[in-house]
This record gives sequence, C-alpha cells and structure tokens, in this order.
Amino acid sequence: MSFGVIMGRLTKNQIKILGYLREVESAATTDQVAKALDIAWQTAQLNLLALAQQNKIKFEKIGRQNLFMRKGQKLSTPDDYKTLFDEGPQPSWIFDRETLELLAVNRHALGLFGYSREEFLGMRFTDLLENDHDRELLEMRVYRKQGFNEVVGQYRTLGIWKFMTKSDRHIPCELVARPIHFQGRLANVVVAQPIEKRKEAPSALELRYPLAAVVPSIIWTAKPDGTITFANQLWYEYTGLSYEMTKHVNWKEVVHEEDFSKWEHLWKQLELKNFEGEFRILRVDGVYHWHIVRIIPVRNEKGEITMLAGSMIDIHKYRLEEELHQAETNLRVLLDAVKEYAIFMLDRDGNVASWNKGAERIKGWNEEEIMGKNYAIFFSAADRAQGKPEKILQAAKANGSFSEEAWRVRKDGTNFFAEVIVTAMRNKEGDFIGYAKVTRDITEKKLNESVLKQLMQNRLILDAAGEGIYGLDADGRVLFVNPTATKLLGWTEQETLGQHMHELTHYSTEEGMPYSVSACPIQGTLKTGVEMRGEEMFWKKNGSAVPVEYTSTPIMGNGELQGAVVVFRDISERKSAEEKIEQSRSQLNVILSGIKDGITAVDVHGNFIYANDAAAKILGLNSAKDMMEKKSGEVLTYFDVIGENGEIIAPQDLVTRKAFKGEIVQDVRMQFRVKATGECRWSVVSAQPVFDKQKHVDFVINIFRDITFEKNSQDKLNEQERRLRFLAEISADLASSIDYQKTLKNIASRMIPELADWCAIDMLREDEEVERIAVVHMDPKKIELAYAVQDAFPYDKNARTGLAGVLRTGKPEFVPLITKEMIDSTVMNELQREIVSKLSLHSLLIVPLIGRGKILGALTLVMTESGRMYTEKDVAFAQDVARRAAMAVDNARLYQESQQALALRDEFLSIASHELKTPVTSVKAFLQALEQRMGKPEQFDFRKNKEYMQLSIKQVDRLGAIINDLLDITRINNGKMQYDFRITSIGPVVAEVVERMSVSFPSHVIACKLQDLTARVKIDLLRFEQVLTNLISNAVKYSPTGSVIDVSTHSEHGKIFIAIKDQGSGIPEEEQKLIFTRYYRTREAVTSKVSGMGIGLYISSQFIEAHNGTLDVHSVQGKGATFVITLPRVGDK
Amino acid sequence: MRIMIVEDDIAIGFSLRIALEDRGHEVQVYEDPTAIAYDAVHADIILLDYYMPKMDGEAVLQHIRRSPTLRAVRVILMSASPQLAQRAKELHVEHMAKPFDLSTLYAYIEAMP
Repeated sequence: MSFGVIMGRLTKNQIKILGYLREVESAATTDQVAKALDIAWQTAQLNLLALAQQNKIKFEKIGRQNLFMRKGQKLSTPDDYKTLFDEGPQPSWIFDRETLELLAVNRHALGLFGYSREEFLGMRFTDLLENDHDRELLEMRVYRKQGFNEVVGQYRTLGIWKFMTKSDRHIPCELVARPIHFQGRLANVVVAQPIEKRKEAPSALELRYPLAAVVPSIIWTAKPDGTITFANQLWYEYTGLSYEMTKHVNWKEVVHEEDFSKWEHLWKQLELKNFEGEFRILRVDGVYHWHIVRIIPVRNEKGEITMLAGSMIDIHKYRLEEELHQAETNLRVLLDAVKEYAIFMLDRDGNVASWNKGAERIKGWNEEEIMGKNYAIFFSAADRAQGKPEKILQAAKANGSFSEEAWRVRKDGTNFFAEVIVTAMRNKEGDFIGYAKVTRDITEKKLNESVLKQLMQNRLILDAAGEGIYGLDADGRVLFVNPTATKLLGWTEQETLGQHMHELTHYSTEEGMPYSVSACPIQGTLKTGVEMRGEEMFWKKNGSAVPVEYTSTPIMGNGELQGAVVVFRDISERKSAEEKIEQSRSQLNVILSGIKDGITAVDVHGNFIYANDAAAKILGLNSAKDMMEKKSGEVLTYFDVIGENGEIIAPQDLVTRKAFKGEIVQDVRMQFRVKATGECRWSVVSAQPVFDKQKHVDFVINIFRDITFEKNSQDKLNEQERRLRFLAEISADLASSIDYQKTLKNIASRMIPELADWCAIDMLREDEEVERIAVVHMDPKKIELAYAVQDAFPYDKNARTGLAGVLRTGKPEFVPLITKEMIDSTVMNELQREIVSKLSLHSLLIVPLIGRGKILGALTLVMTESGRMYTEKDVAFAQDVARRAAMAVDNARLYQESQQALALRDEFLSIASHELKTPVTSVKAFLQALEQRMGKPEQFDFRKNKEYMQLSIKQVDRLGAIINDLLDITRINNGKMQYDFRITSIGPVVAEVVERMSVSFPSHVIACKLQDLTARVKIDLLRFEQVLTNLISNAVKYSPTGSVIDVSTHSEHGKIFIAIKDQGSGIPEEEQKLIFTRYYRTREAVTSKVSGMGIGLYISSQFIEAHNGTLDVHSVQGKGATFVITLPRVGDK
Repeated sequence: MRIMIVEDDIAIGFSLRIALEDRGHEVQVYEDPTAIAYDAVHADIILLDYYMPKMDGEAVLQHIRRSPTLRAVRVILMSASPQLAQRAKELHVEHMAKPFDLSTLYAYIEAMP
C-alpha cells in the first residue's frame, strides 16, 4: 500500500495535518514556515505508525494503568507498517523503555548516523548521544518516566538533544516521541528532526510573492519603524507611489488627517496588541477611501518585534452606503415622531408617495392601504364634485404653496376640521417633482369657538335628534329648543324661548320641595363652566314629573362662558325596569346565599354588585355586607393570591381581570392567604363575563369553591409518599456501597433540602473523640463556614447538651426554634458569635446513629435560611433515617473487619509458607549433595560431610520451631493451650536459658544480672523458657553484631521483673502496643524483609498472661528496647 | 562455569555452593547484596534470591543490568513464591521456585540459554 493511499484514509489525522499546512500558509518567516512544515510531517508520520500499530494489537493491559488499545479495522498489514516506518520521511527509531536498547530503526536514521543496521541495533539509545550530560539526562527521564510513560498514542516533544554520528559529526536534533508496544515490550518510537536540515525548508519569500500578487487587498511588510520593505502591486496601483517613494513613505501623508491620531495611537500599542481599525487612505486621484487596516508584528525567538505585516482592504463603498442608509433612517424616525401633524408626499398627479405615523393617526389610513392612492380620497363627495382637490394642487404649483382650514374626511367616513398646507417640491435643477402636504386636526378648537353658531347652523340636525335639547344663555334663559324637548315636556317653542329653564321645568323636587337655582347641578354648569351629567326630575306642562338623564355642556367663546347646551332624555321606562331587577335580585340573593360556593359579581368600576357570605369567608371578610361596602381593589389588598406552584399572582393576572377582557376562565386552583392572619384557603375559581347589548362586558361573575380541606389532606398524603420514597432512596443508597464513609456522605447530601438546610455526620472514634465524616450545606459557599463551626466550638465530650450529649445518652436533641437567648448563652467569644450569626441558625435536630445497641455517631440537621422548623414528626423521621444509616455503617464495619482479618490471614499464610520453605530448600540441597557424593566413595570426606549433616539438622530444628509456633498459635486461637504449672526458683531458670543462648549466638554478648535468685514463681517451665528464648533471640535479631544484651531480674512489691534490654534501633511508640497483637510485624521488619511471621511476641504475651503476669516493652526509638516480664512472686515457705 | 549466588540465608547459600562445587563449578556466595562491587564481579550465571533484607532482588537486578561486566549475564531468580514467576517474566529473567531439586538446578545452569 502506498503512502498516499494510507494518507487518504486518515480522516482525523488529515485534519490535523491540514491545520499545520494552514500554518504554513500564514507563516511570515522562514523559520516559522520550516517549523510548521516539520511539525506537519512529523505528526503525519507518527499518526501513520499509530494506525498501523493498532491493527496488530488487539487488547492489552499494562501494569496498573489501563491502557486499552482497540482492535482497529484491517487497514494495513504488518508489512505495510514496516515499509511505512522504514521509508518514513524523518529519521526514526524504536527503543526499549526499560533497557534503552534500540529495537528498530529506519533508513533515514541509518543514513543520518552512518551506522549499519546491525551496528545500530547492537547499541543503546544513550550510545547515540554526544555527551555524558545528555546520556544521564535521557536515562533519568526514562527512569523517572518523564515524557516516556504517557498514555499510548500521545506524542511528546522531548526538546533538542545532541547526537553524534559514526563519523563523529555533531548533529542536534529535536525529538518527538510516542509510547508504543513493540515486540511485547514497552517501547517508545522516536522521530528526530535534525536542526541543521531545517534551513533547507522552502523559503518564505518564494511562498510570499505569488500569494501577494493574487490577494485582493493591499498587503505590505515593514521594518518596526514603519519603513516599507515590501508591498504588492495593488499598493502601487492605489497610491500611485513609485517604488522609491514607497520605501520612504510618510504615513501621515497617506492617512487622512482626521484619522491620523487614531493611527498613531494604535501604532504605539503594536507591542501589546495587533493593529486594527478603519482609516481613510489617500488614493492617487486625491480622493480618500475608507479601508480596514490590520498590522501584525512578527517576533523573533526572544519575543522582539523584527518586522510588521500589514493589509488594507477598501471598504469605501460599503461605508458610504451605510451612512446613506443611516441618514434615511434618521429622517424617517424624525417624521414618525411627529404625531400632531400628518406629513406626507404626493407625486405630480396627487397620489400618495409617503406617509407618516401622524398621518395614520389623523386620517385613519395605514401606510400600506394609502400608498399610491389619489389624495382626493381625503375630501368629501361634495368637494370632489366641485373639483376642489385638483384646484388646490394647481394653486400650490402656481404659487409655491397653498393653505386653508377646511373639513376633510377620515377613513371611517367621519369629518374633521383640518389646517392644510400643500407645498410644491422641486429638485436642485428646479424641476417640479411633487407635493409635500402637512395637515393638522383642529376640530376641537374650531368647535369651541362656535358652538352656538354651529347649533343654529345645524338646526335641522338638532331638530331631528332623539334627545331633548335646550340652548341656554349665560343667565340660564332658553335661546334654543328642539322639537323633541317640546314634545317631551309639553311646552311649545314659543312658550319656552326666553324663559328661565330652571323655573319653567325644574322648580321643585320629586317630593314637591322647592328646588333652588343654586342647588341645581344643571344651572351649576353656567357658574363653573364644568360639564355636568346625571339624573333629575323635569316637570311637564301638565304638572306631571318625568325622570330624565341629562348632560349639561358649557359653551365657551372668546375665553368667556357664553352659555350651555342641555341634552336630556326620558328614562322612565328604564327606571321601572331597574326596580323589577332589584326585586328579582333580592330573590336571587336568598337563593345564592344558601350556596356553599362563594359568588361575587363585580362591575367595570370595581364595585361589588353582588357577594355572598361564602365568598366573604374565603376572602377573609366577615360578611357579604361587609364586602359589598368595599371596592374590589381594596378587598384585593387584604390577601395574597398564590398559584398552585407557590408563586404570587399579580393583580393583572387574576381571573376577574381576564374575564373583563371577555375571557371565560374556569376552575383555576389558587390560594388566598389573608395578610392579617396568615390563614390560607385553597379555592377553585371560575370567572365569567356578562355582556351588555353593545357586546361590552357589563360585569363579571366570580365563583369560588373552597377546597382547603381536600387540598390539605392531599398534601399530607403527598408528604407521606415523598418521605417514604425518600427513605426508600436512602435505603438503596445504603445498600449500594460498603464504603460507609462514602455512603454517609451521600446520605448527608440527600438530607438537603428535604430534611435540612445544613447537615453534618459525626462518627465516634475509639478514643471517644469525634470525626466529622460529612458536611453538606444548601449553599455550597457555606460549607467552609460549617467546618469553621467545628474549629470555633471544639468538641467537648463532657458537654451536657449538643452533639456530646446525644453521643453519650443516645437520645435525640431537638430544638424547634433557636432563639437569640439560646445563642447568647452558648457563644463564648466574638469569633463564635460571628460564625453563628453568619450561619443564621433557625432550628436544630441531632439524632444518634445506633447500631447493635452501640452509639456509633450522630446526624446533625439544621434549618437556616429556609426558616423551616423541625416538628416531632421530623424527629421520628430523622431517627428512622439514622437507624438505617447506623445499620449500614455497622454492617460495613463488620465487613471491613472481616476483610482485614482475611487479608491478614492470607498474608500470614504466605509468610509462613516462605518461612517453612527456606529451611526445606537448604536441607534438600544438603541431602541431595550428600546423596551424590555417596555415589563417588573415592571423594567421600567424612569430616566435611558430618558438618553438612549438622547444618541440615539445625535447619530441621528451625523447621520444628516454626511448626511448634504454628501449633501454639492454633492452640491459643482455639483456647486449647494446656499448661503444667509448678513452683520453682526463678534464678536458675533464667541463668540456664541465658547460657544456652550465649552458645547459640556467639555474635552478641548476653550479660546476666540476677537478684533474688531464690525468689519463687509458679510457671510452666517449658513455656516460660520458650518466652525467654524468644525475647532474647528477638534482641539478637534486631541489634547490631557485637552489642550487649542485658538480662536482669529483681523483685519488688511481691512481683518478679525479668528484663531483656538490647541496643537495637528500638520500636516507635505507635507500634509498641501493636507488636503484641497476632500477625503484626513492625514496619522496619517488613521494609527490611527481616524473616519472621509476626507471632512470637503474641505467643509470648499470651503465655505470660496465662501465668497471671504481664509482658511490656519500653523503648525510645534509636536507643534500644527493653522487654519486661512481670510475674507474681509466690510466698516463701 | 562461574556462578554468582546472591542469597541472604546462609544455609541455602552454603548448601547450593557445595552442591554446585561438587559439579565442578566456580561458586561465589554473597549474603549482603549491598556490599557487592558489581562491576568487579565476573560470572556466567547469577542465582538471585528475591526476598532479602536491605535490598530486594529487583533492585539487585537493576544494578546487574547497569553493570558493564554483568549486563548480559543470565539471571535466575529464586523465591519461595510461585506467583513470582510472572514478575520474573516481566523482568526478562528465569525463575526457580524454592524448594527445588538439585537436578532442576543443574538442568537450568547447564542447559544452554
């Protein structure tokens, strides 16, 4: 398979390579080009190796790291791989990571170093290096696994190393390495890049010129001071500068003077950041064009700027378009902002050519509808018939402009009084191009000036009106009356005109009491100038009264009150209808008040038209009557309305408001929380609008069904269910892991937020101190604080309350509300106070973790920011959680202990078998050697062979002793050790053992200082001697050759002390108790591999205990150890 | 053949020495591996105990691998633990489990590698 084919399949790696090639394109210096190319090549090569490798290796696990290599597709055969490696474009070799032996090499490397393949593979990696320093460095890095023990497949650059060829040529190379598996070994493949070869990479200039020629923008390079060293063709075309002028170009002459300070500013910052901005650059014809200018500094290895690279792109066209567009937009915004005036354009024929928001407001047409329509549409049919639109345009064109105040027509057909200015527009050349029209609605102004005039002018219309109309002068005398008024009240026009209206029709109240002019609201308009509305009784000519609804409007003229217009209509029919409604409503009242659902009706003004007692109760008011007296807005302020998810519902989102918008709202659940009492009631609320004849909402009916009881019982059920689920989850957690510390941490985090804002778990240690296993706070920032509490309040195991109390008594501690007084009585200093106040403690609950009757620790639960309080129910629940957690902890500990015991036993068995095999090995060798010699009697040397046999017997004794120890420990373990106690004098026993040991260990001096030789003890002689022998041989084993071991006895207070003192390295204090436990071996014994099974001292101490004595050790590390046997002295006879 | 034995147990070292000397080999026993001047020793084969106080077999092996005189010498690792066979494989050395027959020892030593 060719190189090219493999390349084609490397999709992922291709991308990488392409990336490097892009770097090549953008590189500005020879070095950068060369480097980028090199890296691209090297990576390509390494990737190919990796790929080939993957096809051979299916799955491998190395040491403790899981280095998985997947089985790849069959992309290449091992032969391909070999060819690839051998023909690769860079010198490359593979070496053994353990021994540094060279395992494979490619042709390039052989060519580089000048060795034959055989010579090369006979060497180690270090042999290639030039000097000892590099060799040591490489070995050190390999052994320390720096860059050589990474995950398989990752590349590492190893920096530059100095190599020497066979012909003593020095070649520094930069190395890239990647760990691989090779021939079943851990190895590294190395790719070398000789530094000198770099210089041969393609010249940057060769790349630069063709690129520069085709780039559609100006590009140049310059010295750091701005002197141009190279510019492309486009520069010369644009600036018109000659080659010489370019070389000495003064940027100030090229850049527009207004932009030059910005240019200088950016230039000064080149050291810090790239130069980028928009500037006007002078063109050969003297015109400035906008350009985007970018300048990038090129730096050498030391980071100094050696060169500048710049580019300039002409953006003049875009920039101008942008400005033009901006100007148009500004104008449009300005026109739209004018609401008072309709401002729009007409083309030469009077068709609408533009439109603004003011025009839309005044005339009612929107832009889309009106554009292109003839402006005659704004005139009445009469005006159009007279050709007025055309005449106006002609006048404007002839005189430059035309203005008038006149009636115009809106889209909906209504008239308005307009002030109109039409201006003819001409362009720069003076050609007529159309009209600008400005219109203002001045209807109101006009009407105010001339109501009476209008009234009289529009008499026909007024006469036809369905309402009665009186026009009054400032004194209240009738100036005008319409036929409806004469018909309603019976007075003819002649009888009415000139009469005082009040005296004629309004002289008395309904009850017959005189009605003075000053009390009449209608006449009040003439005094106050304020329009009045209301209902009154007017008297007919025939003496009967008629209820009317009236409007009295003042008439102003020249700034003075000139009179009033009174419009009225007969409402006697409506009145009687209202009475009927009132009656049926009271009947309905009786029915509705019996309904349990709350019902209200609210009118558009927010008045309660109706409410029943049930509604009042739900909303927290005393009675329906109480409620009816208030406005709905006021009632709303008495309570919060809360949605199902606990959110406060804003007034505008209430169902009533929605109903006023015409919406029917049904069965929305919400909660009314009365602010004064905090009492909450749940309701299902519906609201329905009732429409009047005009299809406007007249009033809204609200229906509330109280579901507080149902809701609360549902909540309780939900809570129970949630807690059950919570318990189940915790139980699952507990069962999921036997790492109890991790499990407890999980439990602690589960407590948040269900049961606490802050939770801590403390475990009781064997020394009765506590260990904080877990702290979780709802606010992760406060965990620190929670730990700080522990430091600020050190654990006092004798404290009466708190954690210590719970851990001592096993009873939970429960503080529903932590008061300020409680805190004051607890804190001792300012630090404590600060921490406690930051924690904002609110409610506290500590429950013990009890497993198999033993208090193991405690679970501390605290409520803080959430303001929740613990209840009795929570205590029971927390205890339930704690019980389960404790059980899990207990189980986990038992499991751990049993595992430790198993591990200890296994380790002991392995050590014991080693101890047994060692003497067997030598005995076997001795015996077999002897056996062989017996086959050659001529060489048989009795003296020598006897010595070998004695040595064998000694080894067999050693075996016997080990077996005895093993038997002893089995008996002790099973409690089946039997003793043969006899009373005897201690002195001779000790002396004999010492003497025997002196013979066995001539390497040490064993000194004996005995007092009270005749003191008597009750001992099992064999066992006691065994103990003494064990202690003395230990002393020998752990102290230097030639040193003294003192064995002494003395008696005191009816006890005999036998001490064995050595000059060895001693026993660290923390190990002094442990050495008497079964299978324990000191750290020193383990690390220095001193033989032994860790049972001698255990057996000894068990024996001495059976003698009612004790075995202790006194030692200071580095100063030897003294083992002391204490036995009770038996009274002398 | 020159045989180097590194073994802390005196009895084993001694018994192996007489057994191998009887076969006509030149044997040197070292009880303390820290005291050996590795560069000065010349041997054709090394019997190396794995569990030793002061310095274990692997550390000794490192020394041997770096010594110019012993680098290429065959090493047979001896231990009472059969599990060590695996480790020996990783270290590219042979392994003999204690206790062993002298015939096995001879076979190992006298067989050509």
